Amino acid sequence: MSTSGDERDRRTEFELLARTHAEMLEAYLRTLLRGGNLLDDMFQETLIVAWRKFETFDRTRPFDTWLRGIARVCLLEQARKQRVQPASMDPEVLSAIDRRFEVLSRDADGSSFVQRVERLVQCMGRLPEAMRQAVDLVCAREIPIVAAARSLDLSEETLKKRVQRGRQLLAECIGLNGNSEGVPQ
Amino acid sequence: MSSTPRLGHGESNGDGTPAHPAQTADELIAEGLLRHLSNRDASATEQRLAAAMAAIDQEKAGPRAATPAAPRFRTPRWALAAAAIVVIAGTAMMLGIPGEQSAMAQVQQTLAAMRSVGDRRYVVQLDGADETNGGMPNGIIDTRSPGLLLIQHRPPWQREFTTVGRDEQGKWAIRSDGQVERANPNRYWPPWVTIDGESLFADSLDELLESLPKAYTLGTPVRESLQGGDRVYSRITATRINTSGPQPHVVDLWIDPETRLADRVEFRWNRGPGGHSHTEGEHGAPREDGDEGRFDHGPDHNHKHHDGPRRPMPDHEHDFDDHHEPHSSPDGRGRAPHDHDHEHDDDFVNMPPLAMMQWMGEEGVMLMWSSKPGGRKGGPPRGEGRGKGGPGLLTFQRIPVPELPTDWFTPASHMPATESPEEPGLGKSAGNGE
Repeated sequence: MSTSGDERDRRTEFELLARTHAEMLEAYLRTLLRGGNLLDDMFQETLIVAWRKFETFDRTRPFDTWLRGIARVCLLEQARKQRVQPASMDPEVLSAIDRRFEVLSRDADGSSFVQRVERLVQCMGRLPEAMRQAVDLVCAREIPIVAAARSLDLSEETLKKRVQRGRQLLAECIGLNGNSEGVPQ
Repeated sequence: MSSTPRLGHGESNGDGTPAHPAQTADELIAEGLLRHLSNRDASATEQRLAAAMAAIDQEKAGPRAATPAAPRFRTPRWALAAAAIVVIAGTAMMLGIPGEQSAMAQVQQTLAAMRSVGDRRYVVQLDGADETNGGMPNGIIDTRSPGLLLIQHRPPWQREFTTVGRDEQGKWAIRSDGQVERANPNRYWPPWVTIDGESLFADSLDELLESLPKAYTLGTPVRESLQGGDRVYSRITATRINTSGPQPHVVDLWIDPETRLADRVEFRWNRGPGGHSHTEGEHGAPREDGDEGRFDHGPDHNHKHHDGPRRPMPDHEHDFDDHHEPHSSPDGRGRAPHDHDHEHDDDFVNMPPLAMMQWMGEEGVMLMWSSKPGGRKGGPPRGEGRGKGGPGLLTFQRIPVPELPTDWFTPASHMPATESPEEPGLGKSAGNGE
């Protein structure tokens, strides 16, 4: 009975932790996945693997960091099987992404991951309109470059540069590198 | 396999040198978080979580478990996903497909909220209207479901406001002689509610919004704040499926996630095919701000059938008369017929529109309707619909409304005041400036 009770407790603890960090996991996977169609699958795969390994989880360490590590391994495994296409396979880029998620998750001012991410909304509002439209269409709405360029009456190259600059400004604005409020007022 | 193309991230710095991994990471995260915010849905997250926990429970129960806990996510998911992608790919060029259902649900909720919330008030700004309005609103709309409407608008080239409405008996208008016109009230209605003989919103703003799910493709809801404000809205862009006819090509809604009301509605008309918008200047020159906005071009007015609100024509009864009404301020801007005193703010309900604007502070009103993302203070964007051309943008901004009297939507409530002008007691038709 006690084994069954322990199992229930463990499951309850795992579900609680998973629920707490579910939105972070979604955001992380959306960052790593090229396209969001497989988000559901990767989300589930990550949690199943995490559950299997939950006994080995060191409770003195942050759960979200541990979960991201599992998500990353799962993603690379699926990429190796050519089931998903990651946004990057470069280990340096992936490590840099992990470091930035650490920053987002443990903000010095005490705001939560969700609160930190929501700042992006204000940052978007501060982008110059033309840049905001470009970023909105291409990044947020995932409109293909060709269609977005046509919609904005821009060349694809101009649109790409505008989006790239917009992304950089947004990254500065939410302080991924310790800076903040990088977008000009 | 997922194949939605994504723009290269930090591939080069423009000078051919490869970007630093940190820069690539920054860009990937910015984009990932944006997509996350755009697609964020608490119920979807909960569903994912529940499915994962069900799959875990199923795994714990062993391979002999009776029913798969979450077949959608598990067994054939890669194959199913691939099949889904094939279907989705065919329509991937269409705006907003990924979030269609969510957008649809939000619009339906908004319509339901609008029907139940009671009275609403909007200030209307028409880009491309003549310059004589001095940046003042083109109209103020009060609406009460079902179908009651009051519009206080300033006709072209007029300094005073005209009051029109619809009550249980139908449309009415207060004529310039102070009498009620019910036989032929349309001539007193603002030109921007009727385009080429077709009504933009025949009964109410709600009616056009009700047509959105059928006649428009709804884009993915985006969380967005209006410039100068902290409140985060769900912005839904609806693109008209068939662009013939006068209805706006694009409707943008800013929905308050708490009240479910559309706090801002924008109607936009695209540039005609191959034609230059009149908003670009006399000779099709680029707009002065160099902004290649996608929806901000007015209709081609050389075309036989205009798209978008027609340019308001002067009423022959009061054509071009430059009246210097006693209510106009020396600087040419209108002011309240009653010299409104801020001590009388309780009389907000009965204030004529100009007085109400004065009460709110002109700058406050201006900020309100220029507070679109990327908008400028003090009026519409430069070069956008100003000058000769017709409007490319019609904006409705919801503002607080006090409890309106029961008979507010009847003409009796808006007959010309007979009391002393010092008393801002009753609303007054401003007439047509005759």
